[in-house]
Amino acid sequence: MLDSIIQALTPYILFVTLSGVSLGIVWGALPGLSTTMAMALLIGLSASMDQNTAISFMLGVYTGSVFGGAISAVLINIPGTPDAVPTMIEGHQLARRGEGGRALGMAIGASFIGNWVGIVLLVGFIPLILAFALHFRSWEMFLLAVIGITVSGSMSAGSLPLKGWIAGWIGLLVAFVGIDPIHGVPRFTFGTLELMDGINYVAVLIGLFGLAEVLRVLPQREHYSIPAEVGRVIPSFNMLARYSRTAVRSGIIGTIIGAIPGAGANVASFLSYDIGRRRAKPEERAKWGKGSYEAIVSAEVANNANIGGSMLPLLALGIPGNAAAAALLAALTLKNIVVGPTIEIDHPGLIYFIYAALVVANILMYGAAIALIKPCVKLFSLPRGLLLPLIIPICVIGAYAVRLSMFDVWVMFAAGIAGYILHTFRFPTAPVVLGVILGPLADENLRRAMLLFEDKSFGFVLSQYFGTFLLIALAVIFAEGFIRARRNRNSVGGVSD
Amino acid sequence: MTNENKFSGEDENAGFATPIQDMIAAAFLVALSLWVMIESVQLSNPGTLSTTPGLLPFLTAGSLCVMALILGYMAIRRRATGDSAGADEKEKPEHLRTILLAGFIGAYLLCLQFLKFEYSAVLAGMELSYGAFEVLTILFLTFILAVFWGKAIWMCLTVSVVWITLLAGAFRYVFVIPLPGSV
Repeated sequence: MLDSIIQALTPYILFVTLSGVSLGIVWGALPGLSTTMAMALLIGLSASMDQNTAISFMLGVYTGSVFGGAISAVLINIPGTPDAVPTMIEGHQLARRGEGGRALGMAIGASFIGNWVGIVLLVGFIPLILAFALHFRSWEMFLLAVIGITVSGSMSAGSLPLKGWIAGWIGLLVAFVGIDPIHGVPRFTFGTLELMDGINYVAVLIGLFGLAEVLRVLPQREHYSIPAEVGRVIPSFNMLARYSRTAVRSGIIGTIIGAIPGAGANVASFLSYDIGRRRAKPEERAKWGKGSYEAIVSAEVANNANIGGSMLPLLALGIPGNAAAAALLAALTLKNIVVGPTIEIDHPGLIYFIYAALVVANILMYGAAIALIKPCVKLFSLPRGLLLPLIIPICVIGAYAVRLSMFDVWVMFAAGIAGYILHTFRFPTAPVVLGVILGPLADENLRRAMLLFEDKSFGFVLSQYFGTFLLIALAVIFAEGFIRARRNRNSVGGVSD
Repeated sequence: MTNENKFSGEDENAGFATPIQDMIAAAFLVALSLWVMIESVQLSNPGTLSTTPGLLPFLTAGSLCVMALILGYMAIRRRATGDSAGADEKEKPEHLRTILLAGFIGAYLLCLQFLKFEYSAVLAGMELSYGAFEVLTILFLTFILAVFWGKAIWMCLTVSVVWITLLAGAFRYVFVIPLPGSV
């Protein structure tokens, strides 16, 4: 553990983490540029770094960009990232009263605490989950992958989980392209040599979250308002201490939500904001929606604690908690790191380095956030017509850098167009990425399990208790989704059966 | 929380589209899944049925087909009741401008695919390269900026030259990653 902390504190890694945090904050602060987009586009940049440097850089970007969304939310009433909407509702009201600096100070302090809660819970729960996960065999791993994609679909498309599942299943179909891992049979390659290795999911990620956003947002004719004056931005720990109970509760909510595949910072911040309002004292509750500091604490602690939460299933089971964690998984895979139940056996000490890197990124985020708020305000005055075209070459380099292949650039382009079409038809895109990433895991493990179950009775399959439990969980997820879709169809369309 | 800001899922755009859009999506997905099912059956199988390479693709496509049929059925029911909910009111799509933008990007990628050249010059003892990526991207970016930013060409060109030189320099010399279009 001590070795890992010392490694994370070497000047070079500190510099790289600070660069990642700063890039993340600026990226997250710019309206329309999401955390996942930042993570996806910067994978290419991490490709040439060594393992520890790449991890520190990507975790820095992740930590910085989740906070960054709060800056534009408070100052110009446009959330930099979708999870900053509750912060926008409250923070902008405060900014209009001349308390923008204090609101941002509170957001910084809350983000810092949120990250700590997430890290502490991550460190506390990983050994438990790992001990549990070591009992999982092929059948359980297959079911876990399918549950990951299904839950992601349910959580992404709240009103119509069916669309989330369809998106996840499309991702699975994309994952099947290439040489089959058991018999070496080419599947859906149509004789194309480049498809034999499968479809590069980094390119898919960049296309879906980078290029698709550019295609959607750039053609729109829209202008921003001029940023407000910021004022003094120093977090008040006295005020934070007053909301310590809210902070702890929101941190736990954020971490738990983060651990659920597909439920990311958006669900965490909205849920915590909603629960916070219900639990607030009457005099405080009266301020919600009109500029409440407690509300900012609820939202910001939760969306930052989500980072630690999303790392739980990623590190222990190899299942990313959200699309940003999927991008992190892609960066880890590029470094030949296989995360999952055997992470401590395959990569001894790595998990401690990840803890240390998260702590360092959080501390650097605190300082960088205070320093970068005013430069970020200048960036807000840049129009989208100038900003978004500059992202296109990053998409191209990011897709090309992983395998030095122009074919991957075309995959990114196709994924970008597919992402735009999916958005137009109101399908979520995060489950597609989860499907692409978890597809090979599901495929290989199902067939191994089938080999094990060959000539065995159905009773034998059911006697695999973990598997049967997961099978029931999967059935419950589908049933809940169908019930929710039916209820929402009735309320949206007025259809009655 | 106001209705406008009420949360419905991690991706707030996802959900019911217009019935026509959902019907088109369902039809496309049914066709896609049927095609994948046929292709899966035709895959060669060196082992037993339980380890056949087409097993999970077939099962996935089959269940996708069922889900698409449910989506289509729901869309038909909604259309029959005259429900037009699902249109995105917050965002006015600019499909024509998007198609134009996608076309520009496609043309740029084609040029990047087929034009490969690189020039090097020694400056202060350091070899500096400028290749197809830089030249093509500057031209493309200047054009895109002129269309979507709407400023004078010289301003767009200046922004493009500065940005691409910095970006390419960072990848070439700091991260030592070759760029597309390099020889």
